[in-house]
Amino acid sequence: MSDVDARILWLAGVICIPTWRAAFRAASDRTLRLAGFDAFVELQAAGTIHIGEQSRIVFGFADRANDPILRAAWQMLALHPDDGMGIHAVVAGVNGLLCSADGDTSGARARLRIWDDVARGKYTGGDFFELAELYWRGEMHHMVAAEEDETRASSGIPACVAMLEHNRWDAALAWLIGETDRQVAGLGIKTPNMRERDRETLAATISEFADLLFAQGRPWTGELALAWQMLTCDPKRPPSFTAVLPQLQYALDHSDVRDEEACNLRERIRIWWRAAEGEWTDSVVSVFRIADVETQRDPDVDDPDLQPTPPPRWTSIGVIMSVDQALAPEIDGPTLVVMPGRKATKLNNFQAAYKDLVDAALPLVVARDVAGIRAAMHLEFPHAVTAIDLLLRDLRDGQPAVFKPVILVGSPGAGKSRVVRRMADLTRVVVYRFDASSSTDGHFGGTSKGWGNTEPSVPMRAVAQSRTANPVVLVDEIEKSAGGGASGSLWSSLLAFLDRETAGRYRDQSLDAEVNLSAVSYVATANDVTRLPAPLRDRCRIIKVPDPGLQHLPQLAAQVMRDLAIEDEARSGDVPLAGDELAVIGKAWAKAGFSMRKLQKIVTATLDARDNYAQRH
Amino acid sequence: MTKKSNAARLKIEKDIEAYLSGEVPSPLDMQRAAKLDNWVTSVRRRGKEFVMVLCGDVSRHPQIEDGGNIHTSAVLWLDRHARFCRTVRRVYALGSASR
Repeated sequence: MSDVDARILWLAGVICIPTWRAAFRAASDRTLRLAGFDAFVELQAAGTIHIGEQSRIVFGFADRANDPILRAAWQMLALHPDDGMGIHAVVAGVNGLLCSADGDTSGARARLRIWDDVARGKYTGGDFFELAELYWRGEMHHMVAAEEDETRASSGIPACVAMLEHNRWDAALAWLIGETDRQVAGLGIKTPNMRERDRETLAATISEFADLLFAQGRPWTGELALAWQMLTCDPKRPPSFTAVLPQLQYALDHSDVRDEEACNLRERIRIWWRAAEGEWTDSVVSVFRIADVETQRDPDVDDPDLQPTPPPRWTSIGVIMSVDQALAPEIDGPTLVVMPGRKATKLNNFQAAYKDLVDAALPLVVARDVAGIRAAMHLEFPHAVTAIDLLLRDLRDGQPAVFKPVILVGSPGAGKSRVVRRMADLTRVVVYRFDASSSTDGHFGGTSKGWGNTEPSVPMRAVAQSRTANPVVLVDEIEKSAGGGASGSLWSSLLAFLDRETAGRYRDQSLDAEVNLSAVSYVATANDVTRLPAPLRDRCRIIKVPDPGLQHLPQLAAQVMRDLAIEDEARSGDVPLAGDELAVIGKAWAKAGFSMRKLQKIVTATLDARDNYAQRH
Repeated sequence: MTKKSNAARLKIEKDIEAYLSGEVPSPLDMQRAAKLDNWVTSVRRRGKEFVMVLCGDVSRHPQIEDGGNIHTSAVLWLDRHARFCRTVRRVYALGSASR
C-alpha cells in the first residue's frame, strides 16, 4: 500500500470516529507529529466556548497544516451545520480522496452522505460525527444496492439479444415482463398490463412503455426498450421491423455472447431480417415461432434418407405404452424415455437396478418461477450476481430445467459448489456429485459389460438414482483430475456427453443399450481452467464466480446465521449481528482471504464468544 | 486497425450508447447533418448477413450534390419516430418518408 493510500485510510478512520471530541483528539495527535504544534493545547489555551470562535480557530489549524490530507481533516472538524455550501464543498473533496484510495473506505463514504444530509437539513444537530454514527448503516445499504445496480448494468447479455432465443411470442413476453420487473425494480417503473388482446392497443401500450424506458437515460433501459419493441415486430407488416432490426443487429454484434451461442443467435436474427424483407407476409404466427421452425431445418441435406434423426423432443406418455407403464402412476408434465427397450440388450445380474428403467417414461423436472429463484439466489450470493444470471439463463418457466454445460471458475471458497447446490434445491433438480480429483481414468463413461463389476456411466447412474430424466451432474474440481494414459481420462470421456445430440444417442458400454441422456446437465467447478484441454473449454460456458468482498459482508453474514439456525435450533433465537461485531468479523475475514468457508467459521466463533460472555442470571 | 477507423468506431459506440440512453442528436447536429427526403428502407444481403440501408433524395451531404438520389451505408440505428438515422458513416436527418 502506498504512503498516500495509508494517509487517506487514516482520514477514513477519523471520519468513522463516533464523536467530534475524539476525532479532534486524533487529528491533534497527528498534527503534533507532522506539523509540530499541539492543537489541543492551543484550543484549550484560547479558553473559548463560543462555537463560532472555536470553528474559526480550528480552521486556522487547517491553514497551518501542510499535509493536504491533514488539512482536509481540520476543515471537516471546523464545519458548522449552518454552512451548507461549505459542507458540500469539503465533503465533495474528501469523497474524491476516499474514492481514489486503494482500500475499503465505504464506511467513511456512507458517513459522509449523512454529512451531506445535514447540509440539506435532513438531520439536525451540532456534532456531525455523532449523527453519522447514528445513521450511517442505512446509507451503507443504499451504497451496496447501488453497486449491485452497476454490476447488473454492465453484465451479461443485453435483454434485446436474449429475446432472440425465445420460440414463442407469449414466452418472450412472459420472460421479458419478469426480466423488466427485476431490472427496473429500483427505478419505480411498473410494467404495463398486457391483458388486452387487441393488437393495436397492445402495440400502442408497448410503444408508450418503450418511450418510458428510453426516458430513464441508461443504456440498459434502452436495451430493455428495444426488447419490448421486438414484441411489436409483425411478419405481416415488414415495416414494423425497420426501427428495431438495425439496432438489434448492432447490439448482437457488440454483445459478449459466447461463440456457439452467437452462432445460434445469428441464425435467428437472419430469419428476422428475412421477415423484414417480407418473406412471410401471409404468416399467422409470430416471428419468434418462424425463427424457431426455420432454425431447426438443416438446409444442406436434401436426400430424405440422409436426414439425421431429429433432435430428441420432449415426448409425452401415450405413444407406445407397455403394461407396466400403463399401470404406473400418471405423471403430470413432460417425460422422457431414457432407456428405450428396443435399443437395449438383456441386462445381467449386476444391472438389476436398471431393469425398471427400460421403457420407463421418467419425469423431467420443470423450472417454475425462474424470476423468484434468481432473486433468492441474488440475495444469498450477493457477490456472484453476474454468475448466477449467466447460470440461470437457460431456464424458462414451464420448460424442463436443462442447462448448457458450464464450468464455474473461482478461487477456493468462493461458493461455487454451493451455488450449484442451491440452484438445484430451488429448481428441484437432483444433483449427482462426482469428485474429479479422485478420478484417474475414463471411468466416468462406464466400464465394459465384460468386466465382473461393470458399472454404467456417471450420467446414467445419476438418472437411475434421481429417477428423473434431467439430473445435474456436478463435476467438482475438474482441473484436478489426473490421467490421460492408456485407461483414458475424465476429460475425454466427458466430451461425449457435452454435445446434446450425441448424448441423446449414447451407447452405454456397461448396459449395452443406447440411452438418451440429452436432458442431463453438466456443471463443473474449477479453480483454474488453463489446464483443461481446449475441446472441453470450447464446449462449456465458462463463468467466473468472483470472490466476495467486504461490501457483501452484512448480507453474507446474515445468510450464514440463517444457515446455522437451520442446522442448530439453539441458534434460531440469536440476535442479528451488530455493527461492531460485523466490523470485527470483517477484519478477521479480510485476513483470512474472503473465503465463504472461513466466514462461516468466523461467524460461528463470534456467536460462540457472544454466548460465553452473555450475562447469566 | 488504423487510427482513423478506430476513432470512427469509438464515435459510433458512443452515439449508439447515447441513443440507447434515450438521447437524440442535438438540434444543431440535426441542422448540420445530411438530410434525406422521400426515403424508403431496403434490406440488402451481404453474404450470409443482412444490413438495412435507406434510399432517398439527399441534401446537405458533404460529398454529394443536393437532390441526388442515393442509398446510404448500413444503418446502425433508425429512430423509432423516424426523425434521424445513424449509419456507419454519419447521421442523417430524415424528412418525409416515401409513400
